[in-house]
Amino acid sequence: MSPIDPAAGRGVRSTTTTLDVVLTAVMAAVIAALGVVPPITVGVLGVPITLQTLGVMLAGALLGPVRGMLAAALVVVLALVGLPILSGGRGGLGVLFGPTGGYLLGWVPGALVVGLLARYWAARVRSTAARTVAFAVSAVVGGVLVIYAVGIPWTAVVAGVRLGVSAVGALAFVPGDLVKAVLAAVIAVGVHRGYRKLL
Amino acid sequence: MSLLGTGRPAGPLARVPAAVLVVALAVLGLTTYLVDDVGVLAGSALAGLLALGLSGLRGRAAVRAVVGLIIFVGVVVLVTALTDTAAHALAHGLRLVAVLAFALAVTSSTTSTALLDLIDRGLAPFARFGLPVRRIGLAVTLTVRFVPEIRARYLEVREAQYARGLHNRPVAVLIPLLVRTFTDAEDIAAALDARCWDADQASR
Repeated sequence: MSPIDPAAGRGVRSTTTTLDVVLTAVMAAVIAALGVVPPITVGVLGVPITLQTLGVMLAGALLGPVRGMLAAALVVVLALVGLPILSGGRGGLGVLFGPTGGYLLGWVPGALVVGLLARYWAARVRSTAARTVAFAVSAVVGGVLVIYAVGIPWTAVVAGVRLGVSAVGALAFVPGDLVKAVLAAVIAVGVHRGYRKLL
Repeated sequence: MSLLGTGRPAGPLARVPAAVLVVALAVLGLTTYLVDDVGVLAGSALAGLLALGLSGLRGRAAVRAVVGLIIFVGVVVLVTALTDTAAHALAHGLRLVAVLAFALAVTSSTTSTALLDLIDRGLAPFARFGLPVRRIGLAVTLTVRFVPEIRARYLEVREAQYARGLHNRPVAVLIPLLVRTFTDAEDIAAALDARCWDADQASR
């Protein structure tokens, strides 16, 4: 008998299935793999963007709040214990004190928020176009606003710069992250169409 | 290709247990961020650099890491000096050198496996409160196992798209990649269930 219960993906469940664990793990593997492949140049911007944050947005958008957040948490832990899975082959505890430390930690609440918005709002929007927009908004709120809300203060504390300075430093990455949010939305809609039992 | 690697870290610091190194880093981190005295900070920076010297980090990896450190600290010191006081710039420069160098030393002197074991041991007592330690262990194992494979598949799908003339279209690569990955997840879960691996079991 198939372990996949079509009703199991929707609504609130009190038990975690084996499939939940495996989905979380492979999503984490996807996020990690996106850190070890080369950045790509997307036409609109002209500069290469790394895809790892896209993976984090997708974790929430595809697996929902709990599994998405846990997938992000898995990657964060694995990166901190030394696996070179962050963009550029970075890893280790030093990342926490570097320029991207807070943004890394922000992946966890970020994926959670994307997941909450995706599951309880975006996934339920009827029209495909509107649903894509809803996913994009979810990705921006969780994948950009929340992550930056953790990253900017963290950098300010760790590097000892003023909050405003840290915020200005983060500005350069916003356009790229907005592009990623749109990509995440298109991909999420496409994946949900191809594999229906997720949210 | 195993992401965890089989390399044994070199250097005298590698002989120190991972737990000790991590605690030392935590103590150093707390000290440097709670204290403002330049003498203490300078001492911490020296301690960090000493640890880095005692770690196994050599060659190109060492050069890259140190250059990265210098650049980052340099930028921070410069920006802080311009937007704040020179004293703050110096203090934070020393702080960053201390923690970044020591953290780098820790990463170079421990294996990821040792650190994961540490986490496992740390979480084990919470199993009685319902923390699904086994599930976590399985998830970690699966993730590490699949990173190289998913990476290889990503590159494969990307090549196939390039061959069709679709360059730089992450959508065209990631949708099939993810659908395939989730379908595989079903198979893996089925295999685990067939071996009576019980996801509801919170602990051994």
